[in-house]
Amino acid sequence: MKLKKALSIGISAAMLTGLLVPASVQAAETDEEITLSVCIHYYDDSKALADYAAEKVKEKYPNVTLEFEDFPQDGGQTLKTRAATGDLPDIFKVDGGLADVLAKSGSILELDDYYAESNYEENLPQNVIDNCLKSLDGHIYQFPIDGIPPVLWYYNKQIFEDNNIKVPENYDELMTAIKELRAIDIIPVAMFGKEPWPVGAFFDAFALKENPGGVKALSEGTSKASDEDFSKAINRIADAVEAGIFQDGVTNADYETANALFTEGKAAMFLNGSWYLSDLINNLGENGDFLETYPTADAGAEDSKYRMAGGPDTAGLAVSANTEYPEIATDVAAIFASAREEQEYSKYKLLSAPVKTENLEIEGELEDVQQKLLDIIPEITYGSKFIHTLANTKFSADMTEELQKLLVGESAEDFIKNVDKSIEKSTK
Amino acid sequence: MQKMLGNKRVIAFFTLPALLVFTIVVFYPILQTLQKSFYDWDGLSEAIFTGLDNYKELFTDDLFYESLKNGLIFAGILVVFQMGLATLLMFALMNKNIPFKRFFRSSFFIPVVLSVTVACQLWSSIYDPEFGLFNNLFQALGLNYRQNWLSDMNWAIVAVAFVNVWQFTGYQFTIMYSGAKSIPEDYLEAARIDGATNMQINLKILLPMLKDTYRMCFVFAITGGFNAFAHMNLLTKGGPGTSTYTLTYMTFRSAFNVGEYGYGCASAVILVAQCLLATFIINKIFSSKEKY
Repeated sequence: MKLKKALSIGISAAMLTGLLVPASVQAAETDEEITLSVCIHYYDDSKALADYAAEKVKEKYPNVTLEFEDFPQDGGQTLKTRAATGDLPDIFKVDGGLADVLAKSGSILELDDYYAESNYEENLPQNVIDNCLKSLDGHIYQFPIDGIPPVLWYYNKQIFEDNNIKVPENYDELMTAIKELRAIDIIPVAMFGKEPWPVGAFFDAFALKENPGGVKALSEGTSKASDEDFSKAINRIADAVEAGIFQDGVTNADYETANALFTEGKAAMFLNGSWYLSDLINNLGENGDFLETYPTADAGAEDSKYRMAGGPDTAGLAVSANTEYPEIATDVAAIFASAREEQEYSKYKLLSAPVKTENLEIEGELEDVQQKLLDIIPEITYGSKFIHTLANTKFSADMTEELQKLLVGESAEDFIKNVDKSIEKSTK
Repeated sequence: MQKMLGNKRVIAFFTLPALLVFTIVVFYPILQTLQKSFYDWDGLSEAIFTGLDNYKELFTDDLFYESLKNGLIFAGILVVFQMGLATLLMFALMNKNIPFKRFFRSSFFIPVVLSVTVACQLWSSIYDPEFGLFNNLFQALGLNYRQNWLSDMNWAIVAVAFVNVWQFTGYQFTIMYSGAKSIPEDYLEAARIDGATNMQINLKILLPMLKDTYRMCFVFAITGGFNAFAHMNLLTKGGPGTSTYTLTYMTFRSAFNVGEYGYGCASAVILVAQCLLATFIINKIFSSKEKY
């Protein structure tokens, strides 16, 4: 075991320091004191991750100091504004939508050559290479971070056990559970519907069972809401809403509100990304679990069992085109992203981290629920995307708004009509 | 003094700096918005001239009409309730028999000095359907009535507007009260000696003499309603769906969520035109040769 660990550390160190470095970057090494600004999540565990990655950067570039700015979670507005004024940080986090806009305006560096020279792809799992690297124009603009997180349907085991309610595995059982939970004054599903992506994920939890393309297929105009499969899913959502699946004021609830309902035992189920697992363990302990498949399909629908909402995005660390040190900043971003993700997998158990994990070891024991996710990750397929990362931003905005209306009682017919109208308009 | 005012160079010397700042800070951005409204532009890349396409699209966009309607509802609520309440408070404090005037005057103004964020956080808690004050009050009174105040597609815009009413009634009141206090006391005293009741003094003397003040209050209330943004952004983010969108929110959505800055500029131009038209109409209605 010790040998394996030493080997894995050795390989990781080699990848971080030597193998990733293209000739052009090596030529750029200098003793000059350099400060690079890095805009990334920088609080709690994210801060520790960033500091760890900065130490790894220091090992190769002792003369480079990283100055962190906390990533503004405002849909990219701050970074777009800073791009317009030529004031982007040297290295910063982008999601797919932002990367496309900034790439189009020439605000971020194209990294194709760096990837080719450094063989950076060797450090990435195949599903990340296939789904998370290339932007709409076919070029690479970022070093992936945070991976491909599936959206999981969490539940509180104790509520179901104490009240002798069957944990739902299919749509009929879900409707029965909603009815039974409502009868004992428990909210079936806590939802933070003020944000776009959870409502999009909820839609996909139903739609993916009928059509593997989910909301992405609608955004590309390859399917319509009025198609039989989508129509079935939409009607099921409307029925679940009418049955009282969510808490009152669902479209006005933020994460803190919905999470409090779930962790305080007022709600039995909760939709969130796989990144929520550690919070689930901290808050509910052994009572926290997730459903292996969304309970939204017909009984026995095995082929759609592991179709999950969430999925790939070209999210990662980009390098500003205005940086004073483009070669060093690019190399620093690569080292930083790689080190951060390895640590995120090993120490923080982000099981979907975008790194090859064969040579990495997870620190400590995995909880049962984490092991469960690790076991099913290879089975999961992603045909859709998070709604806020869709390339068709017009449709994304329309769809989010329509979904909010559906969640507060708009009829399935009106929803279908309006979504089809948006598809027609936005995919012209 | 006369000599100085007759010297055009002196006038220019003193007014040009202010005019220059005004032009740069206000006029130039408006012109730029107008110019960009004729372009297809994502805010970063090169803009492409598309003529009136943005306007053509705008006038066929359901969201535009919904935003327009919500702006009118918002403005209507501000005019009726904010100005109405401010007027009643002003009448009350102009009454000689009301004690603790200084206390009331300050109290009415407290919400105005709160930041919009604080006010919205407060009202978000009050409106909360599970734990909020209103629904729990109904429950405590034994009433079987619960309301999703901010998640009801028909009533959310009203609920948001009333937060604005609560917060800025004190502002309207202050303007009206200052105007009322500037009316010579002799007029009011003469009316009292002639046997006028408080109501008659309010309606026959105060209101007519506050015409110019009310003109300003109407402009603030109506353009404030059309321009409303902060309260819905903090309370509902325009939702549920699009039910609390105003033209300002639509502009924000087009520019920052969808990345269609040109389209956003077109809706901003309509908003500016709408506000100018409203101001013009208010001035027309209130302009008369009769002076008090």
